[in-house]
Amino acid sequence: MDIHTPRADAPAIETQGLDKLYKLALGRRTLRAVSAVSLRVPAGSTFGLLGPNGAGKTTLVKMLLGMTAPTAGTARIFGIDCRQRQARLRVGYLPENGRYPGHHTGRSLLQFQGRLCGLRGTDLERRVDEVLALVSMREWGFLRLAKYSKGMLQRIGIAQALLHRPALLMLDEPSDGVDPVGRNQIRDLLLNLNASGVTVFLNSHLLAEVEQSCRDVAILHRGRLLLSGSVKDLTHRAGYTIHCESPKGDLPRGLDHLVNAPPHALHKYPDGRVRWLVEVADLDLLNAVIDLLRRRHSQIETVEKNKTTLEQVFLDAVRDGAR
Amino acid sequence: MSGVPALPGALTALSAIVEDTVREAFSRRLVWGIYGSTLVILLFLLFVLEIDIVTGAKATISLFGQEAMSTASEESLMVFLREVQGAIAVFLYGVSTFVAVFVCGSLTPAIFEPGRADLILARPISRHWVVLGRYLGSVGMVALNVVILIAGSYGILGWKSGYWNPGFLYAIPITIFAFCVLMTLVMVVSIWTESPAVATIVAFLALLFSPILAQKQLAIRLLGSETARAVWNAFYTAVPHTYELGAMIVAKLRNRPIPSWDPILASLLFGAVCLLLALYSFSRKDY
Repeated sequence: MDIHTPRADAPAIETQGLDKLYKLALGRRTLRAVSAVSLRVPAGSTFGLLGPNGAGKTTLVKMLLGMTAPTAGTARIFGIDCRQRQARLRVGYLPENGRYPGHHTGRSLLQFQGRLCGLRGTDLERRVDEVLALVSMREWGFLRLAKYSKGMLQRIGIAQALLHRPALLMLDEPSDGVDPVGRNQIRDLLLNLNASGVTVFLNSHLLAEVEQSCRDVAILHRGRLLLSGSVKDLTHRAGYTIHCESPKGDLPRGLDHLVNAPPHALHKYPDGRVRWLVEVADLDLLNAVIDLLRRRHSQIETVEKNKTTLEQVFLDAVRDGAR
Repeated sequence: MSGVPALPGALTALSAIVEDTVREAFSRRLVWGIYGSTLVILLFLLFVLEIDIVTGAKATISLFGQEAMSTASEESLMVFLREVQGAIAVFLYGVSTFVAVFVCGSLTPAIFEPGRADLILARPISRHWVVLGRYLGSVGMVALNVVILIAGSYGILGWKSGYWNPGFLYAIPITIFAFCVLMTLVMVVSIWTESPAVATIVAFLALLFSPILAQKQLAIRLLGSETARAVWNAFYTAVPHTYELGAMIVAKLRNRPIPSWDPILASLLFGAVCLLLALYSFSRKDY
């Protein structure tokens, strides 16, 4: 297989048994930052890498970008070995703790970064204007970076990542230091880029951000990949929940046989009405329960499909992984 | 796959990094300090130092209107002027090398700092170009200052004394060469330690120990054991020979042949090894 040429059918990212061992204290101690990570990010997807601080997320990203050499395993970007320069041609990267040199203005930083990507002349100037506009920084482009706020630096960081029209965007904590309006803009920008075919790889510990922006996620803990899959599948939980109100105290007889657990009384009113929470296992039972409740004159307030949050999935995975 | 951009060429990336280095240099007050010092020295030579020569009678050097040195002998007039120019050339060599290392010691390695390096390393360029671009940018910035300082001093001294000694201009390549060698040491130490301060100190130590280690003959006489002499010799060989490089300027000013090219070759070898180590270390470094 040619490891220098991108393949049209290749996944955006593919790792196999990726491992990183750091030697500390002159080799007397070791730290395994990433351990046997095998990951596949399809081209055109939105992928979130989650994990607590020190999980190895940034190390994994840096190995993908060739900044850190893996101790073992392989990593490919669009089918190209990540150690090759060609692999970085189609990748835009926003580092987590990027230090933007204060001697540049926003515009001159983009011009410099653009030249490092091979852009030149009017194409470079046009592209600088475009990305400044994309991150709403056009009017601040002539100000020195030393005068920028954290949020403005983050926007310029995203702009430099977009300069060369990358096919894969790797963003390490993109919303860090950005106000809620800015976060919303960044999310919309990422979704628009994804709609145009750009693969978005988000490295974040902000679960809500990942849940809103990503279709697929992976959870990394202590360097190990605990689970990966689509957000929809991971947050799916079987069954339905009904909120209802019975006119007189107890719920109809026969309901106990249809529900998962005994109905839970949420509130008792002075006139004898009771508000209940009822959980059922599947659609057939849901309809049977609704029929029964309606026959006995109970008022149905809401019916919801059961779902867990990504936060709960994350916490469960990390807790299980810690055992 | 269609639409895949081309890799940037070495020249494109190198020129971008060189330009960025020069831009960063001129955004720092310290660099303006170098050029400011050059201006002050040139103004000093222009307005404060007076060289009065009355052919066949007397030559006098005055500072702030006070006679500092003089000679009454016609034969020694040329020797006198050569010595004065030699002292100035060696002073300029020492001062400009010291100041250049001091300024570039913090400037050049700044790009290797984590966080800043990430922005560069994520680009499809070779790490070698980053090191070389940074190095060439610093050398270019310092070389310009050295040319202005020494060529300017040569012009002023020649105009004031009427004595034009082309040997003075040898101070330009030798000063730039000494800086180039010391800068390779700064590069490699800063990559290893991630500390520009440590790198600058190591370069200063090399500069400081050069005149001491150059007293090889004296040391061989004074040192008791063969081991001590061998250690002295090893250090002498390893450290760039900046002291002897300065002595070469004096030899050229006195129109004497350079006694030995060994200091140039040894320093060149030292610089080449340091630069190769810097290139290798940076290409293998984890960020």
